[in-house]
Amino acid sequence: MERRRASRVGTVGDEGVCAMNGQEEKSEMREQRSEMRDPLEPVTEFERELTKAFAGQRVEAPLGFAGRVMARAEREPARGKLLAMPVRQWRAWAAGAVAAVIVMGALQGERVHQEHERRVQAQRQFEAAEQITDQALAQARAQVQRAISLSE
Amino acid sequence: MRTEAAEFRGVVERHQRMVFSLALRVTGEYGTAEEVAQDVFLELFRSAEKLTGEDHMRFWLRRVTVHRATDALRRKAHRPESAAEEWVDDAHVDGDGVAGVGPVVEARLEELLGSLPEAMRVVVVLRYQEEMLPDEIANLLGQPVATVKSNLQRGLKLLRRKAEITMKEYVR
Repeated sequence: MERRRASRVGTVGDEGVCAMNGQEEKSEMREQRSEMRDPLEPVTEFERELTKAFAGQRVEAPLGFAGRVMARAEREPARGKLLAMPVRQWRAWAAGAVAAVIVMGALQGERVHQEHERRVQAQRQFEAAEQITDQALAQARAQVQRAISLSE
Repeated sequence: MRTEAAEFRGVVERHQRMVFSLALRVTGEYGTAEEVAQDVFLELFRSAEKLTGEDHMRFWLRRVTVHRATDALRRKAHRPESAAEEWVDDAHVDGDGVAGVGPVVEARLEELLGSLPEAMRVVVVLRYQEEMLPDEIANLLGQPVATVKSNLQRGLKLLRRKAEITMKEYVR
Protein backbone atom coordinates (compact mmCIF):
# COMPACT_ATOMS: atom_id res chain seq x y z
CA MET A 1 0.00 0.00 0.00
CA GLU A 2 2.77 2.36 0.99
CA ARG A 3 4.67 1.50 -2.17
CA ARG A 4 1.56 2.03 -4.27
CA ARG A 5 0.93 5.38 -2.69
CA ALA A 6 4.55 6.40 -3.12
CA SER A 7 4.47 5.57 -6.81
CA ARG A 8 1.53 7.91 -7.24
CA VAL A 9 3.18 10.94 -5.74
CA GLY A 10 3.28 13.79 -8.19
CA THR A 11 0.60 11.97 -10.15
CA VAL A 12 -1.77 11.50 -7.28
CA GLY A 13 -4.91 11.46 -9.37
CA ASP A 14 -7.70 13.97 -9.52
CA GLU A 15 -8.96 13.76 -6.00
CA GLY A 16 -11.00 16.88 -6.62
CA VAL A 17 -13.19 14.91 -9.01
CA CYS A 18 -13.02 11.46 -7.49
CA ALA A 19 -13.42 12.11 -3.87
CA MET A 20 -14.78 9.51 -1.52
CA ASN A 21 -14.30 5.94 -0.28
CA GLY A 22 -11.43 4.92 -2.60
CA GLN A 23 -13.65 2.88 -4.95
CA GLU A 24 -11.51 0.49 -6.97
CA GLU A 25 -12.93 1.32 -10.38
CA LYS A 26 -12.52 5.03 -9.98
CA SER A 27 -9.09 4.54 -8.54
CA GLU A 28 -7.95 2.61 -11.62
CA MET A 29 -9.33 5.26 -13.95
CA ARG A 30 -7.57 7.87 -11.89
CA GLU A 31 -4.25 6.08 -12.23
CA GLN A 32 -4.70 5.59 -15.97
CA ARG A 33 -5.34 9.32 -16.37
CA SER A 34 -2.32 10.08 -14.21
CA GLU A 35 0.01 8.07 -16.43
CA MET A 36 -1.02 10.03 -19.52
CA ARG A 37 -0.65 13.49 -18.11
CA ASP A 38 2.26 15.91 -18.31
CA PRO A 39 4.42 15.08 -15.27
CA LEU A 40 4.85 18.77 -14.46
CA GLU A 41 1.14 19.51 -14.41
CA PRO A 42 -0.44 19.35 -10.95
CA VAL A 43 -3.39 16.96 -10.90
CA THR A 44 -5.51 17.61 -7.88
CA GLU A 45 -7.25 20.83 -7.07
CA PHE A 46 -5.21 20.96 -3.90
CA GLU A 47 -1.93 20.62 -5.82
CA ARG A 48 -3.07 23.35 -8.18
CA GLU A 49 -3.68 25.61 -5.21
CA LEU A 50 -0.24 24.83 -3.85
CA THR A 51 1.39 25.62 -7.18
CA LYS A 52 -0.55 28.89 -7.40
CA ALA A 53 0.36 29.80 -3.85
CA PHE A 54 4.05 28.90 -4.07
CA ALA A 55 5.25 29.04 -7.68
CA GLY A 56 3.00 31.97 -8.51
CA GLN A 57 3.86 33.83 -5.33
CA ARG A 58 7.61 33.79 -4.93
CA VAL A 59 8.52 36.12 -2.14
CA GLU A 60 10.43 39.26 -3.08
CA ALA A 61 13.81 39.59 -1.40
CA PRO A 62 13.93 42.42 1.14
CA LEU A 63 14.60 45.92 -0.18
CA GLY A 64 18.33 46.55 -0.75
CA PHE A 65 19.15 42.85 -0.59
CA ALA A 66 21.44 42.87 -3.66
CA GLY A 67 23.27 45.93 -2.30
CA ARG A 68 23.95 44.21 1.01
CA VAL A 69 25.24 41.10 -0.76
CA MET A 70 27.53 43.25 -2.94
CA ALA A 71 28.85 45.09 0.11
CA ARG A 72 29.74 41.80 1.80
CA ALA A 73 31.30 40.46 -1.41
CA GLU A 74 33.44 43.59 -1.82
CA ARG A 75 34.75 43.25 1.71
CA GLU A 76 36.45 39.98 0.82
CA PRO A 77 37.55 40.23 -2.82
CA ALA A 78 41.02 38.75 -2.26
CA ARG A 79 39.67 35.80 -0.35
CA GLY A 80 37.01 35.33 -2.97
CA LYS A 81 39.55 35.22 -5.75
CA LEU A 82 41.80 32.88 -3.84
CA LEU A 83 39.07 30.41 -3.05
CA ALA A 84 37.69 30.66 -6.53
CA MET A 85 40.94 29.26 -7.97
CA PRO A 86 40.21 25.72 -9.15
CA VAL A 87 42.07 22.85 -7.50
CA ARG A 88 43.86 21.93 -10.71
CA GLN A 89 45.15 25.49 -11.06
CA TRP A 90 46.36 25.33 -7.45
CA ARG A 91 48.23 22.12 -8.16
CA ALA A 92 49.86 23.59 -11.26
CA TRP A 93 51.01 26.61 -9.26
CA ALA A 94 52.39 24.45 -6.46
CA ALA A 95 54.18 22.12 -8.89
CA GLY A 96 55.70 25.13 -10.68
CA ALA A 97 56.92 26.62 -7.41
CA VAL A 98 58.48 23.32 -6.30
CA ALA A 99 60.19 22.89 -9.70
CA ALA A 100 61.55 26.45 -9.53
CA VAL A 101 62.97 25.83 -6.05
CA ILE A 102 64.62 22.59 -7.22
CA VAL A 103 66.17 24.27 -10.28
CA MET A 104 67.43 27.22 -8.20
CA GLY A 105 68.89 24.82 -5.66
CA ALA A 106 70.62 22.79 -8.35
CA LEU A 107 72.09 25.94 -9.94
CA GLN A 108 73.28 27.21 -6.59
CA GLY A 109 74.86 23.81 -5.81
CA GLU A 110 76.64 23.78 -9.16
CA ARG A 111 78.01 27.27 -8.54
CA VAL A 112 79.31 26.31 -5.10
CA HIS A 113 80.88 23.19 -6.57
CA GLN A 114 82.63 25.16 -9.35
CA GLU A 115 83.91 27.69 -6.80
CA HIS A 116 85.32 24.87 -4.70
CA GLU A 117 87.00 23.30 -7.76
CA ARG A 118 88.60 26.64 -8.66
CA ARG A 119 89.87 27.05 -5.13
CA VAL A 120 91.40 23.55 -5.09
CA GLN A 121 92.98 24.16 -8.51
CA ALA A 122 94.50 27.44 -7.34
CA GLN A 123 95.80 25.77 -4.20
CA ARG A 124 97.45 23.06 -6.29
CA GLN A 125 99.01 25.64 -8.62
CA PHE A 126 100.28 27.61 -5.65
CA GLU A 127 101.81 24.50 -4.09
CA ALA A 128 103.42 23.52 -7.40
CA ALA A 129 104.88 27.00 -7.82
CA GLU A 130 106.11 26.92 -4.23
CA GLN A 131 107.78 23.55 -4.86
CA ILE A 132 109.49 24.85 -8.02
CA THR A 133 110.68 27.94 -6.19
CA ASP A 134 112.07 25.84 -3.34
CA GLN A 135 113.93 23.60 -5.79
CA ALA A 136 115.30 26.61 -7.69
CA LEU A 137 116.45 28.18 -4.44
CA ALA A 138 118.07 24.92 -3.34
CA GLN A 139 119.91 24.65 -6.66
CA ALA A 140 121.06 28.25 -6.47
CA ARG A 141 122.23 27.74 -2.92
CA ALA A 142 124.10 24.61 -3.96
CA GLN A 143 125.79 26.44 -6.86
CA VAL A 144 126.77 29.28 -4.54
CA GLN A 145 128.25 26.77 -2.06
CA ARG A 146 130.13 25.05 -4.86
CA ALA A 147 131.51 28.37 -6.13
CA ILE A 148 132.68 29.38 -2.64
CA SER A 149 134.39 26.05 -2.05
CA LEU A 150 136.19 26.29 -5.42
CA SER A 151 137.43 29.83 -4.74
CA GLU A 152 138.84 28.75 -1.40
CA MET B 1 36.87 44.14 -11.22
CA ARG B 2 34.10 46.62 -12.12
CA THR B 3 32.79 44.29 -14.81
CA GLU B 4 32.96 41.31 -12.47
CA ALA B 5 31.04 43.20 -9.81
CA ALA B 6 28.40 44.29 -12.32
CA GLU B 7 28.02 40.73 -13.59
CA PHE B 8 27.72 39.37 -10.09
CA ARG B 9 25.12 41.98 -9.19
CA GLY B 10 23.16 40.91 -12.27
CA VAL B 11 23.26 37.29 -11.11
CA VAL B 12 22.07 38.28 -7.61
CA GLU B 13 19.21 40.33 -9.01
CA ARG B 14 18.19 37.55 -11.40
CA HIS B 15 18.04 34.83 -8.75
CA GLN B 16 17.32 36.62 -5.47
CA ARG B 17 13.56 35.95 -5.51
CA MET B 18 14.05 32.23 -6.05
CA VAL B 19 16.80 31.94 -3.43
CA PHE B 20 15.01 34.10 -0.88
CA SER B 21 11.65 32.35 -1.36
CA LEU B 22 13.27 28.93 -0.96
CA ALA B 23 15.13 30.05 2.16
CA LEU B 24 12.03 31.69 3.64
CA ARG B 25 9.74 28.73 3.01
CA VAL B 26 12.24 26.27 4.45
CA THR B 27 13.31 28.31 7.49
CA GLY B 28 9.99 30.06 8.07
CA GLU B 29 11.74 33.21 9.34
CA TYR B 30 12.30 36.38 7.38
CA GLY B 31 15.57 37.38 9.09
CA THR B 32 17.06 33.90 8.93
CA ALA B 33 16.01 33.62 5.30
CA GLU B 34 17.87 36.83 4.44
CA GLU B 35 20.99 35.62 6.26
CA VAL B 36 20.82 32.30 4.44
CA ALA B 37 20.23 33.95 1.06
CA GLN B 38 23.17 36.35 1.58
CA ASP B 39 25.46 33.48 2.59
CA VAL B 40 24.39 31.52 -0.49
CA PHE B 41 25.25 34.39 -2.82
CA LEU B 42 28.59 34.96 -1.10
CA GLU B 43 29.36 31.28 -1.55
CA LEU B 44 28.40 31.69 -5.19
CA PHE B 45 30.77 34.68 -5.43
CA ARG B 46 33.60 32.45 -4.24
CA SER B 47 32.67 29.51 -6.44
CA ALA B 48 31.35 31.22 -9.56
CA GLU B 49 34.30 30.14 -11.72
CA LYS B 50 33.44 26.48 -11.14
CA LEU B 51 29.93 26.85 -12.54
CA THR B 52 29.55 26.13 -16.21
CA GLY B 53 26.29 27.81 -17.18
CA GLU B 54 22.92 29.20 -16.19
CA ASP B 55 21.32 25.77 -15.58
CA HIS B 56 24.29 24.64 -13.53
CA MET B 57 24.09 27.86 -11.53
CA ARG B 58 20.35 27.46 -10.88
CA PHE B 59 20.86 23.85 -9.78
CA TRP B 60 23.76 24.93 -7.54
CA LEU B 61 21.77 27.80 -6.03
CA ARG B 62 18.77 25.59 -5.25
CA ARG B 63 20.93 22.89 -3.69
CA VAL B 64 23.07 25.21 -1.58
CA THR B 65 20.03 27.23 -0.49
CA VAL B 66 18.19 24.12 0.68
CA HIS B 67 21.26 22.86 2.54
CA ARG B 68 22.01 26.19 4.21
CA ALA B 69 18.36 26.73 5.08
CA THR B 70 17.98 23.29 6.66
CA ASP B 71 21.24 23.84 8.56
CA ALA B 72 19.85 27.13 9.90
CA LEU B 73 16.59 25.42 10.76
CA ARG B 74 18.38 22.69 12.71
CA ARG B 75 20.51 25.25 14.55
CA LYS B 76 17.46 27.15 15.66
CA ALA B 77 15.21 24.13 16.09
CA HIS B 78 12.34 26.49 16.59
CA ARG B 79 9.69 24.28 15.07
CA PRO B 80 9.63 20.90 16.78
CA GLU B 81 8.49 18.23 14.38
CA SER B 82 6.34 16.52 16.96
CA ALA B 83 4.00 19.48 16.80
CA ALA B 84 3.36 18.70 13.17
CA GLU B 85 3.16 14.95 13.64
CA GLU B 86 0.23 15.28 15.99
CA TRP B 87 -1.93 16.16 13.01
CA VAL B 88 -1.36 12.79 11.41
CA ASP B 89 -3.94 10.15 12.00
CA ASP B 90 -4.84 6.92 10.34
CA ALA B 91 -7.95 8.20 8.69
CA HIS B 92 -7.28 8.65 5.01
CA VAL B 93 -9.15 11.70 3.86
CA ASP B 94 -9.78 12.03 0.18
CA GLY B 95 -11.35 15.42 0.41
CA ASP B 96 -11.77 17.89 -2.40
CA GLY B 97 -9.36 20.70 -2.96
CA VAL B 98 -9.23 24.14 -1.52
CA ALA B 99 -11.96 26.23 -3.01
CA GLY B 100 -10.88 29.45 -4.64
CA VAL B 101 -7.57 31.20 -4.33
CA GLY B 102 -6.86 34.38 -2.54
CA PRO B 103 -4.38 36.04 -0.28
CA VAL B 104 -6.01 34.51 2.79
CA VAL B 105 -5.73 30.98 1.45
CA GLU B 106 -2.20 31.59 0.25
CA ALA B 107 -1.14 33.00 3.60
CA ARG B 108 -2.75 30.07 5.39
CA LEU B 109 -1.02 27.58 3.09
CA GLU B 110 2.29 29.28 3.84
CA GLU B 111 1.61 28.88 7.54
CA LEU B 112 0.65 25.24 7.15
CA LEU B 113 3.77 24.62 5.08
CA GLY B 114 5.86 26.02 7.92
CA SER B 115 4.40 23.46 10.30
CA LEU B 116 5.46 20.48 8.16
CA PRO B 117 8.45 18.42 9.26
CA GLU B 118 11.65 19.58 7.57
CA ALA B 119 12.08 16.71 5.08
CA MET B 120 8.49 17.02 3.84
CA ARG B 121 8.61 20.80 3.74
CA VAL B 122 11.73 20.83 1.57
CA VAL B 123 10.31 18.48 -1.06
CA VAL B 124 6.93 20.24 -1.09
CA VAL B 125 8.64 23.60 -1.67
CA LEU B 126 10.85 22.22 -4.41
CA ARG B 127 7.87 20.50 -6.06
CA TYR B 128 5.35 23.34 -5.89
CA GLN B 129 7.50 26.47 -5.79
CA GLU B 130 10.27 25.36 -8.13
CA GLU B 131 7.97 22.97 -10.04
CA MET B 132 10.61 20.25 -10.03
CA LEU B 133 9.88 16.58 -10.71
CA PRO B 134 10.54 13.98 -7.99
CA ASP B 135 13.64 12.64 -9.77
CA GLU B 136 15.04 16.15 -10.14
CA ILE B 137 14.44 16.75 -6.43
CA ALA B 138 16.11 13.44 -5.61
CA ASN B 139 19.11 14.46 -7.70
CA LEU B 140 19.29 17.86 -6.00
CA LEU B 141 19.02 16.47 -2.48
CA GLY B 142 21.12 13.37 -3.12
CA GLN B 143 18.28 11.14 -1.91
CA PRO B 144 16.61 8.08 -3.47
CA VAL B 145 13.60 8.95 -5.63
CA ALA B 146 11.42 6.68 -3.47
CA THR B 147 12.29 8.72 -0.38
CA VAL B 148 11.43 11.95 -2.15
CA LYS B 149 8.13 10.55 -3.41
CA SER B 150 7.27 9.25 0.02
CA ASN B 151 8.04 12.58 1.70
CA LEU B 152 6.09 14.42 -0.96
CA GLN B 153 3.09 12.15 -0.61
CA ARG B 154 3.12 12.33 3.18
CA GLY B 155 3.66 16.09 3.11
CA LEU B 156 0.72 16.58 0.77
CA LYS B 157 -1.50 14.38 2.88
CA LEU B 158 -0.53 16.23 6.02
CA LEU B 159 -1.07 19.62 4.42
CA ARG B 160 -4.46 18.58 3.13
CA ARG B 161 -5.48 17.24 6.52
CA LYS B 162 -4.43 20.45 8.24
CA ALA B 163 -6.16 22.55 5.61
CA GLU B 164 -9.38 20.62 6.12
CA ILE B 165 -9.29 21.27 9.83
CA THR B 166 -8.12 24.86 9.91
CA MET B 167 -9.60 26.16 6.67
CA LYS B 168 -13.08 24.65 6.77
CA GLU B 169 -14.60 27.64 5.08
CA TYR B 170 -12.27 27.24 2.09
CA VAL B 171 -12.17 23.47 1.76
CA ARG B 172 -14.93 21.79 -0.11
